Amino acid sequence: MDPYEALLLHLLTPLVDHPDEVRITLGHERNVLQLLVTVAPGDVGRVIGRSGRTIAALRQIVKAAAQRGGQQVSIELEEAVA
Amino acid sequence: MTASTIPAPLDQARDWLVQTLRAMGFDLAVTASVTEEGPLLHIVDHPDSAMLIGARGQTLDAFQVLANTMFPIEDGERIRVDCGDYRARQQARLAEQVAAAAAEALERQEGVCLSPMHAADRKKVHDLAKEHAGVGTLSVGEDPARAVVISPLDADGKPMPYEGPLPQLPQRGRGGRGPGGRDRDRGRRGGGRDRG
Repeated sequence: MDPYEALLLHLLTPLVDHPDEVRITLGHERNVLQLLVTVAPGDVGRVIGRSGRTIAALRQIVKAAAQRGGQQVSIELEEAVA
Repeated sequence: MTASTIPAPLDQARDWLVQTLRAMGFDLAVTASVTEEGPLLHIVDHPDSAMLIGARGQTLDAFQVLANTMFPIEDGERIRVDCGDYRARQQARLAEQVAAAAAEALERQEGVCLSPMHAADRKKVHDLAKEHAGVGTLSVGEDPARAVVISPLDADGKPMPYEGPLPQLPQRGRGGRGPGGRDRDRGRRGGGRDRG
């Protein structure tokens, strides 16, 4: 597993009610590694957090880890289609 | 500090932080304690700790947000996350900024706007400014660009209204340039006036 995907999964799992429904899809655009996150519909609010604080914290931590590896990452969140 | 004084959520948060650091590629010890200022997770100092701290402590703040979301302590005290002596140095820097701004405000007889800060840091600035005679504080701008102005007191003992440019957030770092902007404590050219 990609190390940033593993880190993000580690961060997301304890945050959500349905950890088995967390999916991360990897993509690349130019030099940026894109992590597309899908969670259960009821978990979207949890992952975003009040005023977006939780998702901002997730992005900051993954960005810090990626900086060390000289990698740029972006994280996008999508609601799972039921 | 004995282990029995450590609340269970703080201990769980400590384990979570150790695992998170490991997933980031850092094998570092974290200690949990309850200080006068509340529960604290302390990451041992490390040559690469600048990366763990982040610009303006953003990465430490991110650990803090997640730790408090996942492991809330019942009496409502928030967990703080520190690395090396970062928070102490930050507090000292803040005190220096406030002292310099207070001196400048008195000399120019007008408000001096500090850079935008989180609510917690703004509170510290309001408190620090009380140690300086002849000045008061007000807040201007909207979150996340809200900032404290240190302003001379008028004849009624109220801080003079601020008429300078509104604070602007520093450019979001794309390529890891330095904090840049010699004048950033002064606020960049702002749009309209603030409603105070």
